[in-house]
Amino acid sequence: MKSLSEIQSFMSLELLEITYGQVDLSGNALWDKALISELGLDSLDYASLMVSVEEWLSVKVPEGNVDWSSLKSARQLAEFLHDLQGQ
Amino acid sequence: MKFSTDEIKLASDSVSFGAWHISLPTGSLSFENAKSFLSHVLAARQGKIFLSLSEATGFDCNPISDPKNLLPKGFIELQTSGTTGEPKRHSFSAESRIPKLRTRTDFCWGVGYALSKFAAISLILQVLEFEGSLSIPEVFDPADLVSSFNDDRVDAISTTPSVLRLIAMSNLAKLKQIEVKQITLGGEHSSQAIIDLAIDLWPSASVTHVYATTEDGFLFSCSDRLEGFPAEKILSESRFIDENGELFVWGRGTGDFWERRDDRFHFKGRVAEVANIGGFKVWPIEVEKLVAKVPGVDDARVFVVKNSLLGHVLGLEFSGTIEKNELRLALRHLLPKIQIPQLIQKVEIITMGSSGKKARIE
Repeated sequence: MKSLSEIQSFMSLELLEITYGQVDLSGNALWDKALISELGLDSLDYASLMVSVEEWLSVKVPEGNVDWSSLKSARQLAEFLHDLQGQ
Repeated sequence: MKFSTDEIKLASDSVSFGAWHISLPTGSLSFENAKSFLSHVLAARQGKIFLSLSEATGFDCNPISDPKNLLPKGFIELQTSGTTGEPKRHSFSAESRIPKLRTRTDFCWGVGYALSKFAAISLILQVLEFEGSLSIPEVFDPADLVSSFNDDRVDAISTTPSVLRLIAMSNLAKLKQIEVKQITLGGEHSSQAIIDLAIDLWPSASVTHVYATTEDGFLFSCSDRLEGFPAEKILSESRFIDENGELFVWGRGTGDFWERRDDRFHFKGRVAEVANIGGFKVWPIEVEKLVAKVPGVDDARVFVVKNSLLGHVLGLEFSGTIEKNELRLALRHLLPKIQIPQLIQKVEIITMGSSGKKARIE
């Protein structure tokens, strides 16, 4: 099981690649910003980030019963995926 | 393991009339079991038996209870997995699956398909019909295929493009030593790169790619060493392509879609394999063809992944010298954003399903 900080490190690298270096989460400032409305990602970028972490953690976000409005920021997404481990 | 038609005919004489089920192992197959399997296929071709085939961990051959004699003699039933992962049973008359292509009677054919698959049965029936011989590996893996084809001195090989690429990666030098006069590619799309690989391996061989469906068997082939099929090969009295690009055979949609460019049709993909990404349809094979052209990419597989946010996303596995971030950057300039796979992974060897094809759904 990966720790939250490991997941955040992985997400930082993935997001840098997905956004071609445009979004750098290495500082703390951006972790609570909304990925789509504030950091400029679109739904395809968001999905890329999500599936990359899913694959890395060997977890799958369940279909249907996810409250996406509570997963706007990178921190929220990281915590959600972290908690999926072991479920 | 090499088998002559005469040897199989002799063995088929001892197959009892009725209905039989054979489970073929996903692992090693002995000479005796391979002979038993081939003799039952021939017995079905002769109309003596109904034959049901499936895959299991070990070989088994047992009569099926059919007291009311309802199972049709001369028919073979296969459990197919296809590329979508949805298993289905399909039965057909053995006689109907003998391609209209004549083959040289003195050829030894290397069977480069898993034996429980439609393409393998079709090839075996064809070879038995024209009295050639068959080379069957003990284990369906790249190294064993190359050894088997080499030891049996095959004249011809029939396989999927994915398996050809894998066996070439396994032992290119040994594969080139085999004096192949005919290479037939089927079961999935043959790209120009794979046709070129076959030409490179055996420059003087005839390189043929075929299109067949489980429902209709062999439909058409092409040996001009170019990707796609000339329009006149596809369109006929019994076949047409509708305005959406779907191929119809005897009025029934195949679920396979084609795109016409100049005088040739190019395979676009199967309807069951289309990704619906947030309402946009994307054909994995079309993306794969473009990814394969990026310098540094040796091979690629584009597939559909279910996704709770967008419905589907695209996954990409690739092998080669290019790194993942470099490939993503290259794809940014090559493809519309909706076609850039969301999940990209660099691998040593591209994942292949048990059917010897690239899996399209995960």
